[in-house]
Amino acid sequence: MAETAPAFSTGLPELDALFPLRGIPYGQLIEITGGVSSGKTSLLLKLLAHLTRTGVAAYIDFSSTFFPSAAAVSGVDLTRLLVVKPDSRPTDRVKTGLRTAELLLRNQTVNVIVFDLVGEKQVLPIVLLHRLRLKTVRARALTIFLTENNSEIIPSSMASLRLEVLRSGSDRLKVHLTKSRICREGTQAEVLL
Amino acid sequence: MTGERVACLLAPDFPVAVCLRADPSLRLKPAALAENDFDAAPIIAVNHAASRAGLLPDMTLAQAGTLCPGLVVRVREITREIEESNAIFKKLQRFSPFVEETSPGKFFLDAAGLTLLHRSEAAFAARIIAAIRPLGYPVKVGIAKNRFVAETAARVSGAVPYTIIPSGRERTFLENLPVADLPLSPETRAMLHDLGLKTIGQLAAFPANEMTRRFGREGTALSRLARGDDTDATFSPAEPSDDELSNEIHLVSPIYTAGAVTSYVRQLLSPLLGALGKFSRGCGCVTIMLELDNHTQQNLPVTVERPTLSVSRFLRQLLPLLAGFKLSAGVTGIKVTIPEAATLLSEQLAFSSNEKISSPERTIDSDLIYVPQLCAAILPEQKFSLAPFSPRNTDRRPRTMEDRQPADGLRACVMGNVSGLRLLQPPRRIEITTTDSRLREAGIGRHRQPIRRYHGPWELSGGWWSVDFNRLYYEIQIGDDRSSSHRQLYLVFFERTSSRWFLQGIFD
Repeated sequence: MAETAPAFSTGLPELDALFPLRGIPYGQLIEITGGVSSGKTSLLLKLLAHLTRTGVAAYIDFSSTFFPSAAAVSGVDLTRLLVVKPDSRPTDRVKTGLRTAELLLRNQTVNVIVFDLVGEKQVLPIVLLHRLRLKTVRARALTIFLTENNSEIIPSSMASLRLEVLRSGSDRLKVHLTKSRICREGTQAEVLL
Repeated sequence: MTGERVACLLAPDFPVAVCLRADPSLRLKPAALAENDFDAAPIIAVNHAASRAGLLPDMTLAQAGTLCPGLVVRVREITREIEESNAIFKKLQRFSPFVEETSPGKFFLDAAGLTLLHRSEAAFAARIIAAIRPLGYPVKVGIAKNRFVAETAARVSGAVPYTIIPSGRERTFLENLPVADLPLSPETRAMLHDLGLKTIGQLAAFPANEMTRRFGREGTALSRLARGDDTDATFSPAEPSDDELSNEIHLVSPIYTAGAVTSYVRQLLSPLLGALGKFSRGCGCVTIMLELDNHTQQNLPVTVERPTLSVSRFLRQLLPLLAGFKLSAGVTGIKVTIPEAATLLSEQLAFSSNEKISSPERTIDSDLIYVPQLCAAILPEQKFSLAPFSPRNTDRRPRTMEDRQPADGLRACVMGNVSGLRLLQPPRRIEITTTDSRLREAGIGRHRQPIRRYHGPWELSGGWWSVDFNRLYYEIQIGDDRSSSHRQLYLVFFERTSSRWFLQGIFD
């Protein structure tokens, strides 16, 4: 891995300020959640834009709604992004996606894995999530789950950080830390896209 | 627990266990299992009662019948063995996402990290055994740092249902075991005996370079195994040589029966697949060439459903081929060839953390992973393509100015932020009610909702030379207008050619 810093800067100073290390420590499972049009995808792409400057990301597109043009507008370097389409295995797509992520992490191919689970109904198997967390820690990577509000497909014990996103204007978002094991819970930041 | 851990589940004497499960009354009678019911057929295994009568594996049925007149002989049922093995395989998939079946009755599970769920490896092993026990097989479990030690631990565990070898204790565990527990060829076994090497510990103490000099690659691999280091021996990135992919036999007198041919194929195929396993590879197809005494040849390609190291799986496919194949003349020679070594169990991922892959497509199926590329197009859904991942196209950069401005057609968006657009593919049919050319209600989701605000239209048309399209794009907002947190912003279009409304994307 190219990164040696203990934490990953999100590229959003207001958000970084919430964490003692001025960024999210590596090895975390993060859930970004919000309602329809809340801005969660915009926030995610902003994070990816910053991360793909130095690292490689994998986007596991369960919802099949990833729009590379929008990612490029957000600043994501598409040459440093892999898109995984588990839909090609419709019978076992969740497991396929998780296994693929685990392999990418195990081989230190990527620095961040994104699970786009918007619209997904199936609860993720806890066995595979445990393994994923272990691999994320070992690879000093980040795993981000993008979910819809109240979807509850990520068992609450698994994510070490949950960011709930609310839109506060056409280009402003409020980010609430509704759960955190790495900093104080209940804090919030307003970020400009 | 740190590092890689592998669990091996072994069903000892699996062919016999399958037979006994089908007919439990055989437990009380002297019984033997053979490949076929010819007098010259060798016995594969005997039960306890037959063993007490002096019967041993490798005796012919004629010899066994003489020693024990009341002997019950059962012919091995390969199909049933595979079915039963598949049932165990399915159960094991509940315990680990990576399960490999190297032969019916022998399974390897990636056990790294599972103590988070099962508290300890002992609890993990106990749960596996408890899950398999209802299937009726007395299984053994070994857990260690690598496959060889895990398998050996399972095999030598005796009355103990599971054995766990902590990382770093592999050599200590192996040192008192006989060298026969290593995967040896008969020639090597005889030479080791001549050298006075009786235990694995003695072999481990033997200089490695001397082992290589005397036994070649097999010596190198044995030396590593004896030291408890299975990594290179099992997950070697090297490819097997052509010599290791074919095996043949020339017969003094011709044979005329399918049973005899099958028996010889087993003898020829077993070492080939065993050698392939050392490279962590399998195969999905073998070619069997029969030389006939009328100076002709017959080729029989045998394929199985997935790459494997199981001889039985190939024999199951071979038997119907031979049944429908009339031997026009006696068979005087048999050659078994593996045309191509394949990745073992393609739906599974090899579980070696030491295998650093520079190209993930080696282990991830290429139909899963893509690199996004921008395209110059008018319609949003055509503005990008997903190319199958290859190291060559990861450095591809946009080449034209149009590529660099991928979302020009969408920059007119005023309510939603184009950077968060989620695109539906294909666009989803929706209902929108209009009055006097004004948008009123949208049927997105279960209910129709009033459209609070909208912007548009923007027209996109063209494509008369391929697919004609003429779209009027709108951004619409539904939901509570007072609270921005409840607004839902969508990109919709009206397709004039079909007079239908479609949902193109969601601003998020």
